[in-house]
Amino acid sequence: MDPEREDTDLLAQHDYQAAYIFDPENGETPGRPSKKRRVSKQTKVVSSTAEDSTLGFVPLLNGAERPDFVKLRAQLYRESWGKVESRIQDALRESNSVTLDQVATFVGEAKTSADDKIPSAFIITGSNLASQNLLFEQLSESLQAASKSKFVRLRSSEAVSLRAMLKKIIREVTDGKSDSAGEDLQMNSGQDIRRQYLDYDLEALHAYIKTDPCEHIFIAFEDSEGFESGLLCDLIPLFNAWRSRVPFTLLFGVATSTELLQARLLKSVCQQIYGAQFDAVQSGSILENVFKIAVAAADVPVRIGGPLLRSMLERQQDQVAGIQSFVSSLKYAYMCHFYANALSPILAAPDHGAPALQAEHVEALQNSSSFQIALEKVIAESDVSNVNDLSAFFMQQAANLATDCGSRAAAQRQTWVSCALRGLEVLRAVSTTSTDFSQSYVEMMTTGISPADDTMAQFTDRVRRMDAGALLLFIGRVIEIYTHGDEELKLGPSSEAEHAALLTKLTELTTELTLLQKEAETKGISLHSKYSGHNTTVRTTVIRQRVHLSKDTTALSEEDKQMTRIVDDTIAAITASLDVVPPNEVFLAESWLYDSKAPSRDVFVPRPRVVFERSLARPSDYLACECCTEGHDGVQPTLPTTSILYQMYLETGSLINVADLWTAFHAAVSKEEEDERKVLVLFYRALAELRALGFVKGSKRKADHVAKLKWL
Amino acid sequence: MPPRKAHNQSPIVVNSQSPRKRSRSDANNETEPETPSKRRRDALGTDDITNGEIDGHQHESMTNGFAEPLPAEKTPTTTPRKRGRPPKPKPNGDTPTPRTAGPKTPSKRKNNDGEDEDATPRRQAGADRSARRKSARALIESVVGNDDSDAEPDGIAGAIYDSSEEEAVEEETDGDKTDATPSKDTPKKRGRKKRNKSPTPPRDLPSHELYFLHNKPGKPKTSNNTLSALSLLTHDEYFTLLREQTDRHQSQIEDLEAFHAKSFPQWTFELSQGFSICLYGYGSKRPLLQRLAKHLYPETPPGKTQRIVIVNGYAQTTTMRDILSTLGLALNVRIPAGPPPNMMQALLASLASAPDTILTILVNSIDGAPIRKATHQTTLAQLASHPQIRLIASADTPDFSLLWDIGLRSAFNFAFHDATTFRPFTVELDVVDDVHELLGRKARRINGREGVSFVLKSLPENARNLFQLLVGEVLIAMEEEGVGGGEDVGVEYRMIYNKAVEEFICSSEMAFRTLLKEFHDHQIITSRKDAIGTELLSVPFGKEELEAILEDLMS
Repeated sequence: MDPEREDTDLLAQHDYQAAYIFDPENGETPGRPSKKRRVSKQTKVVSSTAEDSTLGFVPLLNGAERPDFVKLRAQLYRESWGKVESRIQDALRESNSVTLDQVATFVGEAKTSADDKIPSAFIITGSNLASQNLLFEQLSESLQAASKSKFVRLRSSEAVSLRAMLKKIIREVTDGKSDSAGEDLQMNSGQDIRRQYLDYDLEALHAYIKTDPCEHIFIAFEDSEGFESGLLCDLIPLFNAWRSRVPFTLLFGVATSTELLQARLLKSVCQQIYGAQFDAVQSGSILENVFKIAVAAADVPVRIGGPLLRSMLERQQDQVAGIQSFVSSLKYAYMCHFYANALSPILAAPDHGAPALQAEHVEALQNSSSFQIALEKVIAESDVSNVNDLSAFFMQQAANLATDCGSRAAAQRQTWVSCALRGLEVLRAVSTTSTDFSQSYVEMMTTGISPADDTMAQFTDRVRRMDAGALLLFIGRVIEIYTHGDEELKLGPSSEAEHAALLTKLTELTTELTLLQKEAETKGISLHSKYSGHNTTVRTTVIRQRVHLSKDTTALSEEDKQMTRIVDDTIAAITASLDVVPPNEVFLAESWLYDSKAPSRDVFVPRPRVVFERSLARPSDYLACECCTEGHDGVQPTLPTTSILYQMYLETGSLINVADLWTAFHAAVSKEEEDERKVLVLFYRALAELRALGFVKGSKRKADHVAKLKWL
Repeated sequence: MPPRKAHNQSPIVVNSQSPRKRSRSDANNETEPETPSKRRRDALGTDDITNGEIDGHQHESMTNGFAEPLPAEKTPTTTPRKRGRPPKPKPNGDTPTPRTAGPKTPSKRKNNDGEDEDATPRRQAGADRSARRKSARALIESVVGNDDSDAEPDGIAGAIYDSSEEEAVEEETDGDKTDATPSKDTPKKRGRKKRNKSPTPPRDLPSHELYFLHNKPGKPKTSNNTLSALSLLTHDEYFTLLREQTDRHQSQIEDLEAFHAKSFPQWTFELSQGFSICLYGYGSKRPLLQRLAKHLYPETPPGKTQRIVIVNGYAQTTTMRDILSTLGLALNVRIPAGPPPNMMQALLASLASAPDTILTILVNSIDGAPIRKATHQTTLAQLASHPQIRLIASADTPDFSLLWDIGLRSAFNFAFHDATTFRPFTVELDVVDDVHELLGRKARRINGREGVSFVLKSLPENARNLFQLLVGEVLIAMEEEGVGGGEDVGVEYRMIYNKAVEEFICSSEMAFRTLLKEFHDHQIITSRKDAIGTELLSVPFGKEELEAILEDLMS
């Protein structure tokens, strides 16, 4: 029995069932042999990596990659992402902690001070539904930890009617799922109680509270804008009426403003609310925070390239995607990097006791662009005039470069990261505009920092305009950046030799400047450099009824000259250290830089309409068949039938006469298929598919007509 | 401008010409601006000073109009001012035009491009229009004053009229640029409002432009051909013929699927990292998912047990309850049937008690009609966000992403992959029924007229009489309603009941209902409520078929 046939048999059993359990081994026996083969093949891999699975990683380098390296990549992925992820989770938890504390305090106080009103916390979450989810999860955790209480989360999509809401609330409270295991008794009692009352009777809740007293029952309306105002107006007074018996506390997630919410409620309802408003941290600042610790920090294992980062950030703004989607994209980038890049384990290989690189690895890295840049550099520096065999020389150099490349690449990466981040910080230290850190980082990742840059010109300009005090502060900041680094970016003191030189120079300048300042102070003059514009005056003279403007530079005092020199020296010293190449030019950057936009875009922002349009308009793109490729006008009869019909569909107006469509279809297809009934079968199938895809629907405007629904 | 009759002739002659010609010939003729003025009078229903003049010309134009075939049909659709009139004219009515209201229009509009013409005034701003109308009236008055003058319209009135005309044309040409407008090559014309639409639509328009082009107001211009000559396929014939057919692209389709199958390890990796997978693209992805299930089956992470459940979102009978109880069975738990939220909790509880179990759910057609509802998608999202559950879904329509808002989307955490397969939807679609439903012929299921007579044979005499009565009434109603036909023609329940009582078919409403129930059970009648709540009965057959059925019943 051929496997195809057997498949269809297996399918046929379950075709029209709603759901079934997939279990090929309990199927017919003919399925077995092939199955066993596959299992045995699989067990080989699985057994070899019993402790640390390969996560389904496949050997790269055309399958030549050794299992050790496959395993290493999987392991590296787990380690790297694990590290970054835990960091992100901490940050997210931290970010809401203020709000959580405030809400907890309010809830505690409101219980006593609310009198006959119902305590309600209005939490302004901003428009992002997805981040609300996280917030309410945290609220639920922290509030239940703070006091013995129950937490019920309601979403507008579930809230169809008052009765359904009450049912849900009662069920969630009495089921007591928040309690740890071993409380089966409790659960039973809850269910028992429920049985005695109608399932939307709050009396049940009251009875339950008697057996298992708790301080608060929190009802959280996650997206309060989504609830019908009538429903809210019914619920709130109801809760308030029961408050003497059941300790309700309300939480509202508000995306817009409390005023708008209030306007939707009845006045009498508003009067029953004892409320306070809390602002959750806006997603923008959370994003910056996460960005710093997870993307830009000095010790992140994988660096994300500029263009990809930019598209990820744009998605945050344009599509109001939550921080979760940013984290997902980041995770996906990590996954891609370790899953598909054979060079990814090179840096870490020595530390993980991996064997020497395979020949294929060496070949791959010799083909990488950063390696070639490095090779060119080596060759330019060496003297090739007295070399006889040039090609042998090249091979030699390449081999030299490739040996022990892992550790060298690691060192170069560290240098680059240290320089780049510090450079970025220095630039930001003078920047007056409040550009986001993420933006300037993305720019740096794309183009590096070069003295010829626009940003550098701005930098020079700004430093020149500083007065002595500001300059002193600035130099102090730069020294700090190089000696202490940055806490948030996990940047330690710099260990580079050139930075040491820079530091001594800067320290010298500081002392000089301080001295100069003191001197000026004693003399009672103010210090100016020649750039500050104080020493030029514009003179107006009128000669023969014409006005002449002339700039006049007053002579600089000795101190001013000194000041000018210090400014110039500072700029020169810092600029020299600010030359940062774009990351992809660093030696073997391929092993720690991930920068391809396409996978992320395809996976997270699909464009199904384009895909459908393409597959129906140009099936040969997918099928790669010869019959449909040659592009001549008109509809080719060899196309898949739905394609043919689709192309006719494109030419129709908003109302389509099926009889005419059939005539056209028949005319087109009959070149290939003679039998009219068979053509009709094809026509039926294509038309049914167009309908299923949502292209047409029935129309009653005329007999045998259908209406067009899509203009792709 | 050679073909013009004469510049200074009376408007009567002008009216008999085609719109394009007229627009040119009237360049210097002061009668042109009468269109707006007439419109105005249509609206107000008052008589103007110009009445005498225009009345005379209207008679002529009407005779001209009658010379044309079916002038009446065109009238109502063309003049926006007359919306108050009944929308559907009787097709065979003898009186083509209501002579009282605005009789001069038909002659002007009898040309083919009626629609275009009315599109223009609608688009104009109200203020513009009234200014223009006033100026037009002023112009006419001046024309009436000195009939023969062919001077340019002067003063402010002329300016306003001219400028608004200009705008109108601009607006129109903006609408579809590629259209060859005759007015374009005659730059100085005032009468260029009328524009001949080129017979073939412009090509390569962006889709939004096409949408507006196709959805212009007015009657769609499709032929009146029907499929009545073609005997439609039955299920048997369809499947017999289908089995004989082979797809010429079969091997390529196999290759394509094999190509997708190469991604299985990657997808497995993504699943293991907490992503759900959504496969989209044209073609049935059921075989591919089946293959993926086979791939996943042995790939259980060490120390875990895996259960795979396949959900058929396309199956008409699929309910959330079925899905959840099957998921329960996969965990060896029998979940008591109840409302889905309860079942969901039971399921999650049993998952929590088996922390080593991974539940993999493959959903065929997650955008299938039975599980398209928001509540179902919420439940699925809830499942997908559970750490022990992995979800793989396939989506068949191009609009699937509209199913999820941002909250659901982040709960699903989908990774999307293009998995265009080109496989026919053999199981997902019931092709024959779908097509017949599309064409509005549901009742094919009971084999049309033979089926009906078969059903009626088994019913008592009364029932047969009632059905005969009903068919007769529906036919009459169809006659009255006109061409459309089909199932949307209904007759009032009350009226049928009264007639049935009159003819002694039944004596009480109770008995009447019982008889109708029998018909309902056999799907040979349908009932619905119209906008104001009147119950309407109808018979789901085409006109020809009804006639045949009636004949059968009479004989």
